[in-house]
Amino acid sequence: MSVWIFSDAFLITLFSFITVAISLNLEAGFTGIPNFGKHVFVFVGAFAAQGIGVRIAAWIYEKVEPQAAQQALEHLRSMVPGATWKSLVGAAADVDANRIVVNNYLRPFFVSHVGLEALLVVLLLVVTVALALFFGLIASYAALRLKEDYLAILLLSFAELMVMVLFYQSQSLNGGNQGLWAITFTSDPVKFALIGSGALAFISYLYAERLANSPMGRAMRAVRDDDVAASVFGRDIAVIRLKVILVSSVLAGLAGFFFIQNAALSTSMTFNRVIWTFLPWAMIILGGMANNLGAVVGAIVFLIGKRLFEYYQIPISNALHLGSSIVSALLPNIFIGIFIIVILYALPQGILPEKPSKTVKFEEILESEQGEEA
Amino acid sequence: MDYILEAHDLVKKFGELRALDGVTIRVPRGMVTLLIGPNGSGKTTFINTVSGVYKPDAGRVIFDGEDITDLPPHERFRKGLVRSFQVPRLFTGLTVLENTAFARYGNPGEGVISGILKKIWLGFETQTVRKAVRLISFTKLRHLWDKRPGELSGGQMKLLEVSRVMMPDQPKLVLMDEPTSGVFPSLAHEIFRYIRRLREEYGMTFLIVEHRLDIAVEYADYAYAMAYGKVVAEGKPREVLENPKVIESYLGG
Ligand SMILES: Nc1ncnc2c1ncn2[C@@H]1O[C@H](COP(=O)(O)OP(=O)(O)OP(=O)(O)O)[C@@H](O)[C@H]1O
Ligand SMILES: [Mg+2]
Repeated sequence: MSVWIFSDAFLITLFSFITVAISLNLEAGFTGIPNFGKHVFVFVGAFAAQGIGVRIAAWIYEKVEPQAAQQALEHLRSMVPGATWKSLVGAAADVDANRIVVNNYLRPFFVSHVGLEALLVVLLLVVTVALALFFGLIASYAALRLKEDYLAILLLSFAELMVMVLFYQSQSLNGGNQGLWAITFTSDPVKFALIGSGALAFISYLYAERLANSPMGRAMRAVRDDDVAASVFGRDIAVIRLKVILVSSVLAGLAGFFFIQNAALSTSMTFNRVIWTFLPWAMIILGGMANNLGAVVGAIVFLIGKRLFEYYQIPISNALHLGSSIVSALLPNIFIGIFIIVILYALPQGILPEKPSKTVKFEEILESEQGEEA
Repeated sequence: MDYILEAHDLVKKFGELRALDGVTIRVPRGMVTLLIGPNGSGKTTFINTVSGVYKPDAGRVIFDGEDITDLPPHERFRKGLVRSFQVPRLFTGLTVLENTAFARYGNPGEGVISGILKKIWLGFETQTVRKAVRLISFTKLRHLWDKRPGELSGGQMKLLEVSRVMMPDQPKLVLMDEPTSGVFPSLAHEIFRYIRRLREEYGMTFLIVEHRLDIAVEYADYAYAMAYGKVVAEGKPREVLENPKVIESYLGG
């Protein structure tokens, strides 16, 4: 049992979803920003390790070891006539050439140059943050102007346009429909992904908990409950939404960066709306909106449940005499759907309900402040 | 006379209806001014237009000598204009204490970075919560401090609106839309006495929409009466109440 439930791949997925669920909860649960385009913000981190990461890595390789790079290029030209470094890592017309570049040349080079590797990691984390902020700004531009319903649709459309059209159709950005190998780190990238995504999930939780129990947490919930009343009491709604979107985008982007370390070859479609938007939504609804621990619990319960269904899919399918029909193949999704409906009926607040923002020790102040009974 | 608020010829239309039909109201500084009128006469629309919730179709709003007609609500608040709502607009997920504490603006902890640095905001926040506790003690909501608005009665919700509007630091003008409706008479008197005390001790200015004229008239310095989107009388509160036009508007409305 432990073998398949707690495999590294499962844990990396779990940690990544915990971070994304926490980040979405800051927006949707606490601030009432219906971000239905979450997937593009996760994809941003993958893009930093793929389309951008490989380019930067190749550039460094060429600068540091021009001769080796030249030899590598000649070898590659036997596969892809007329190839240049640029065409091999960027507009990867040939995913095999791209694999060889990344796995046979770039990775071994960085693994043997630990200093440069550390530099590249830091650089790409900075790129992830910068890209996340940029995409967050684009999303905020709409968020500050639209009503909630329109905003949800707009963010979904924006994300779909990016993930399904721009990055999927254009070969030169991220390998298009063939995908691209990510630049991965250390001689054990899975361990790197595990530690990175785990640390990120942990830090995200601590951060979100502190924020929720600060005056900012209270302000976010006020904006969510009644934006007119919040602005009548002096709050610039646009600024509060902007801040939350930016910080949430950064968390989601970093989650994507570590996740892709364990899914090195992928297209932008890996970050599709079902997996990286609808699932996180289901997780926070299940766990409890505006409750950080709820987001964590939601992610854990959901992923373990999904995993169990997938594992027992065949026995269940057989027991129900479904044979190999399409229903059988869709069984996990059907169970997820039923599960969500049951939870929404049984626990409309989610597993863990919202709590007040515990900024200071209220009881102590109530004790000491007798108040003026007029 | 020194006026904190001057609304000139305000017009606000809802389709064909002119909810404000050229309203000019001046609120004298340091006084308690009443705004009365029958149902649907445009009092709430006036408050909404002055506080920036609605944009007027015509007319100007001058606050403390400055034209604020085109400012959003939060900038008006920051200039010292505070208001309460006739139909409470409370934050449904926040407790009574949180609703009240939120109404104090300027907390240095309202940022995504400063929020997690407790040192930065602990002092301000402690003061805020203390003040909020004092206010909800006054409005008799102290024992409900950790309840959410959904658990309150209608009268208690109004009292929470009152607590909230008393929370901001040194407002220049407080607009209250029927602060005592649904509140039992003895507490209604207490609220007006408190308003009076704030006026006397701190020179605060109030514009109060009120239907309970029997109570309110004792505490006000000046009054305006509206009917059908127009001002029909102004002057000393008792005189306005006895004005035939005002009496007629109440009977007709
Ligand atoms: N948002 C709105 N949309 C359409 N009509 C409105 C709106 N707000 C107010 N009205 C209309 O404008 C008129 C004035 O309403 P308003 O609420 O200002 O009256 P009021 O004097 O506050 O009445 P009350 O004493 O009942 O609170 C009414 O006829 C009302 O129906
Ligand atoms: Mg009204």
